[in-house]
Parts: sequence; C-alpha cells; structure tokens
Amino acid sequence: MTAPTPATAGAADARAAGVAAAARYCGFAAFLDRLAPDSPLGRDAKAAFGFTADRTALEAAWDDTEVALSLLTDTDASAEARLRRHLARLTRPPRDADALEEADLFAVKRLLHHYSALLPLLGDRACAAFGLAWSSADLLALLGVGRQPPETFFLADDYAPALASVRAELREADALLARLDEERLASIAAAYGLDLTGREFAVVATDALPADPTAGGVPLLAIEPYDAAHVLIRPLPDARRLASAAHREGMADDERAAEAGVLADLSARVAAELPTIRRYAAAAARLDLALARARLARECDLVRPALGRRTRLVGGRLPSIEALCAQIDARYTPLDLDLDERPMVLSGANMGGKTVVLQTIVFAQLAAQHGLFVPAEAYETSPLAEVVVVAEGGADDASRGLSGFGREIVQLRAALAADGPALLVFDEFARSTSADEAAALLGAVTARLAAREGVRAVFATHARGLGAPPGVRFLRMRGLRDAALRDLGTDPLSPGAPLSEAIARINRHMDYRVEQEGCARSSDALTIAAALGLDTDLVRDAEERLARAHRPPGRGAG
Amino acid sequence: MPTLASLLDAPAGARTVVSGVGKDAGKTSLLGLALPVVRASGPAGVFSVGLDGERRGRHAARIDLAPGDVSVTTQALARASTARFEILEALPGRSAMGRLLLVRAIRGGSVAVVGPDTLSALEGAIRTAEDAAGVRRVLIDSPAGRLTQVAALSADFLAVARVDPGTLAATASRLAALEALADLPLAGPADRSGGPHVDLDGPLTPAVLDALPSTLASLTLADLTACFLAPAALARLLRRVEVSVRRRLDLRGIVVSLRDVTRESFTAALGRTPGQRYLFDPWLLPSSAGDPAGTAVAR
Repeated sequence: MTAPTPATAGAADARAAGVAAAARYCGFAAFLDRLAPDSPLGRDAKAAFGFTADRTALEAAWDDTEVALSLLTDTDASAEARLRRHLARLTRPPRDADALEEADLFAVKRLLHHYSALLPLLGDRACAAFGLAWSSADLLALLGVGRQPPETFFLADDYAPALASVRAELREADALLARLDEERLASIAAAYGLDLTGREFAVVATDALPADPTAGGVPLLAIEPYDAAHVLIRPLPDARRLASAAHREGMADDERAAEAGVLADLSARVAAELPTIRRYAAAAARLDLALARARLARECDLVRPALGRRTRLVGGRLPSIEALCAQIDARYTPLDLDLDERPMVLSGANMGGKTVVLQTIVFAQLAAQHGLFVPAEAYETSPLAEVVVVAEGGADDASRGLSGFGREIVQLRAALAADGPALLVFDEFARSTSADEAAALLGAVTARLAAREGVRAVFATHARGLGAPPGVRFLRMRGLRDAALRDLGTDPLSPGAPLSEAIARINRHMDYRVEQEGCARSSDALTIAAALGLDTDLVRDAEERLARAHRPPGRGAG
Repeated sequence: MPTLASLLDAPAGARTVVSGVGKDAGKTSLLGLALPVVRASGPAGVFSVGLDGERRGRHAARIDLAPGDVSVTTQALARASTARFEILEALPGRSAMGRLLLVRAIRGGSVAVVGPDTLSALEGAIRTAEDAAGVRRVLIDSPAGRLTQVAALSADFLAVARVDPGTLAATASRLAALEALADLPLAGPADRSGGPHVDLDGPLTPAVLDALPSTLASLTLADLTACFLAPAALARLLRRVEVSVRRRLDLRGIVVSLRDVTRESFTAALGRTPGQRYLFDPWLLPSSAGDPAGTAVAR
C-alpha cells in the first residue's frame, strides 16, 4: 500500500465530502445514527467501515448481517439481553504491549471476562462465522487471583508472598499509627478539654488555650494564627509517631516495589497473549457491528442488496418520509425504478414526489455501500466510487458568499469532475435562474453526461424545452389524478385549517408512481397552491394570466 | 442552628455538590469534615468536577478515603496514595496526569481526587459508583462559581464561603443573591397571565437583561444557574419582575467561616438574620477552658 499523495488525498476528501452531503440530503446521516453497536469495539468498527466500493467488504458485511439475523431469530429476548450486556461491557485491548499498567490489566480482564461469556450464548455456527474462539482461560484466572470480582482488578496480596508480607506489615503499622493518634487525642482532651476526634484540625478561641500550650511538657498541639480571636490547632505528632510514620513510608516504598514486580510479571503474561486478545476484540467487534446491522434490518424491514451491473430498485422506501406518512396517516408509495447509464430526467407536479424519488435512490445506494441492508423489497446495484448531489443547501462552507445559483455551479463542477462510476443527482438544478437558461444548461449537462461511461445521473426538474438529447430518458411522476384536480381547484383549503390537513389532502389525491416514459405537461403549481390555502382570488388571477399566456397570438380578449 | 449532619441528612442516592463562593472558601476542608458524616449511612463517593488545566495535577484535592469509598483518580496518583484501590472502571478521555480511573478503596488512606473532563463522564462515574459499587451518598467538589454542574448531575448543593473584613460586603451580597435564586418559585401558568412574560432558554446576562422589555412583568429562567447578573442587578430585577424557574435546585445549606468578622457584622451585611440554612464555623470547637457552649456563639 502506498502513501496517498496530496492530490489523491484531496480527491478522497472531496469524495468523502460528497458522500457526507448526499447522506444529509436523503436523511441517511440521521439513519446511520440508529446503527448502534453496543460495545466500544463495535462502535470503532462502525466508524472504520464508512462508504466503500469494495465488493468483498460489502458482501462480507451483508453475509455477517444474515448470520446475525438468524442468530437473533434463534435467540430469545432474555438471551439477547444477556448477549448485549456482555457486548456493552467489552473494553478495548491495550494498544501497546510495553509498560502495561494496572488499568491495562483491568481492561484485558474485563474484555476476557465478557468475551468468554459471549461464546455460550452464540452457538457454534455464529462463533465460526465471526471467528470467535477461546483459549485464554488461564490468563483470565490469573487476572482474578485473590477472590477478585470478575469485573474489577487490583493487585491482590495473593500474587506474591513478598507483596502479602509487606502489606501485612503495613496493616500493623497503620494500626499502630491509629493507636498513637488516639492516645494523642486523649492527651489533648485531658490537657485542654478539646475533642479533636475525626478532625484533621480545628479552630478554637485563643483564650481557650492555656498560657503555656505545651502543658508544661512536650507540646501536644501545633498552633497557627487564624484570626484576631482564634487559632488553628492540629495534633502535633510526638517522636514515636514521627518514627512510626517514617517507618511506614519505608514499607510503602517496599509495597510499591513488590507491586511493580507483580505488575511486570502480569504484564509479560498479557503481552505474550496480546495478539490473541486482539483477535478476540476484532471478532467481538465484527459480531457487535453485525448484530447492530441485523437489528436495524429487523426494525426497518431492510433487505440484502445484490451486486450486479445495473441499479434496480423494487419497492424502495425512504424511512424518514415513510415514518412521516405513518405519523399523519398518509399513504406511502414505494418506488420501483431501473437506472442505467442514460441520464434520467424526471418531471412532475409540485409536491408530486420528485425529490423523494431522488432521495430514495441516493439513500438505497448509500445504505448498500455502508454495508447495510436496504429499505426495499429488492435492490440490485453496483458499487460506485462517488455519490454527488446537486441540490439546494448541498454546498459546502467554501461556497459561502455565492448566490444560490453560484453554489449550484460549484456543486455541478464537483459532479462533472467525478472520476469513475458515480451516482449524480440533480434536484431542480438551476431553479434560481430563468426557465430558458435553466433548460439550456440542463440540456447541455445531460448531453455531456450521456457520453460518460459508468455514470448514473438523475435529474428532477420543472424545466421544459430540453429537446430530446440522444441517450437521455424522460420519466414523469404521475401527479394529481384528474378528479383530484377538480376537487382541489374548486374546494380550496378553508382559512385556518392546519397545514397537515392540506398535506394529507394532497397526499390522498396524488399518484406518486413514476411513469417510465414521458414528460409532465404541467407542474400543477396553481392547483397545489390553492390546496395549500393560498388566497383564492390570487390563484384565479394567476390562472387567467396563465391562460392568456398560452392563448395563440391574435386571439386576445376584447 | 443546623449542624453539618443535619445539613447533609438525605436518603441514599442523594448527591451533594460542595461549591465554593469565592476562592479559598474551604471546600476541601469541609469535604474532610463531611465525609465521615455521610459515611455513617454506607460507602461514600467523593468526586470532583473537572479542573482547568492550570489547577489540574498541582492542586487536586487530597481526601481521606475509608475502605469501600469510591472516587476518581489516576494510575499514578493511586500508586502514590497511602490507600490501595481496585479499579472499577476506566473513564473516557485522559487527563494531563494520565488515565482517569474510577476506583474503590480496599485500604483506606489519602488520595488526590481528580475530576473527569466532561460532566457526562462524571455523571457516568457517579452512576457506576451508585449502581455497581453500592455507594449510598455522593459528595462532589466543585470549583468556585461553577454551579452549572448541579443542574447536570441531579444534585443539590452546599455553598461554602470564607468571610473576612475585606470580603464581607461582597460575599454577603453574593450569598443573599444565591439564596434569592434558590428560593425562586417554580414556573406555572400564573406567570403568563399578569402582563408581558419572557420564557428565557439561555443565560440571563446583563446584555440579555437590557434587551428585555421595560414593561416586563414576569420572567422564567431554566434554573438558578442561568442567572449571571451581579447581586445588585439581580436584587433590582427581583424588585420589579416576578422571576421563576423551570427547575429548582435545592440549596442544602451555606457554610460560612468568619475570620475577624462577628456574627452581628455578617448579619448586618446580609441585611437580615441568617436563616436555618446557615452553619457558621464548623471547624470551631467548644472548649472546657473557654465557653462551654461554643465560641461560635460567643462571637
């Protein structure tokens, strides 16, 4: 593998930015957040997977998802909950085998404990599919020496006789220090009537102390100024206490040395087994990510894509719109569509579903190339190097300061620069310039893309007069049913009616299917405007103006 | 007058942030006094809100833990401690002093308590201590003037202040403002019926206050931590506007140590008799040689 040059790195960045923008455009970015592995290992694996055109990687991801789906089918809810709890408790293995600390041993112990608990829950087929194996029982037992709980770690006395011995001495030393402290406090209480039990220090009125605070002998208290009327007092250790504390310090050094010895031994054992532990982590990550993909597939009714030479979507759905329709009790029409290398120009009514068609196409492709199943009855496609969307709001920060049209041109340049197989999506391209110029520009772009191999280009537009460039397909949304045209036109939305009512009404009258041939005669803009509650007189005025504009010359009124 | 035990009396699961009003307020010393009190009901958790870079490491609070107590420290600080620990959790992120670990003392001793970098990491550590380590009562050391964490941690709070003649007026007015904020009523429908009302989502700063309508009758804040007004400005606002909060934060008590300041002077500066929330000079000992009822009363 060679290091990327600045040029290739720049192209890769541009491709990644294009995919990210496309993911935002179709709602896939939010959908991907629902892919939620339970373990940090699985989350790392999710982050590392990303958008890929690697057929082998995609097939492997889908194979894993199928295994995980059958595992979930064969697992009852209680076992699934246990499986997920163990996955959630997995830890990342140490990056480096050198100088392992207790925290590293803790991480390894927890990883081994929960990893080993996964295996009985999985069965042979899943273990084999994900590469889960187990040969570290001895190491796990070693990390539990001293009756430690399975999920925590400490350097127990039982690891080394020297450690146990020095700690026993330390316990004795601590007991002696505690006894000496108690004796000191008792002496202070007897001398001054001051009870310092449980206090590191205390504040007393200056006149509460006798004139000779040494009580005529060895001083018992360290006295510091506090304010004009008070002093701060602490028990003053005597020589025996100081000597005992110093002795304890020495023992604490011995304890640290003994601990370092135990740590070195345990580290060597763990380091020797680290390659195996990393394999466990990789297998668990793969399992966790596959289970997360399978849960998503189950929840959202996703199907495994197939890799072929064409792009064919049957019953494709856009989850965000599907959910919205369910929320407002509106009908959702899945999408059937074949895409080939001929640019496809899609026309149709306002609110007729053109953008949703585009978003559904982009969503399915992104899902497939992120290793996910797809919201459809069937989806066949080939891996693409790039997905570029030219749409309002799709430009990056560098385009700030440009007009809407300027930003579209920047996106268009990126789309035309796509190298290799790509999906290029143009949502009402050139909407912000004149209709004639938009049609001319659109015609030129479709003609250019018709000559490009490996590019699948889809345009949604209201522009007319493109002519019929060779190699370009024209499709249209079916749009409003004829009866609906009458209803919506003659029965506009009543003032004050909620917008959701208007949307539901349009939804009822709109046919969202795609006609495989043809160009929409009208965008039904005025009918839709009336249905959305625009002032009736204004709509009527617009209709008359439209009629006059379409009337043949010489037949004007009057 | 309340005692420290009565101020800290709470059911298992309570979390109390110990927050300083001004610098060198005596938070760490108070924690040292409070810990044995809360430990009477079971293992205690002692935590710290993340420190800024300069403080981190050099002045992490040293706390005496008993066996069973849970806290957050680093590998190096744990090793240097007189206590010994089992690791319960490795926390996300890394401090300048190394990896942060949630630990339980298996041998008591003194350790430097370090704050996680984020409030969510702190919340996670506290939850693990409560759920998995059986901690019944949690104390949280918080840097001066950073009460926002109280809201984030579902905790109540204890304010700690040190007062000397130079800081008397300012500290008294800050404490009065703190009490006024803690006593703000919960917002209800009545807040919207008596004239112009503003429901403020963000902080109430002097600039935001200036931008509010002069005819404002009522104002609702998220909670007391959303107020960033100087005490005098807050007092003026409360005189003319009904202020409420969407969430109340319990001010458990105010611990004040008076240095060269009499209780009468403090009462005069506060403008009223300190109520049952105030605990004065918990470090002050009554003595047989002096006033047996306690020198605090004599001042």
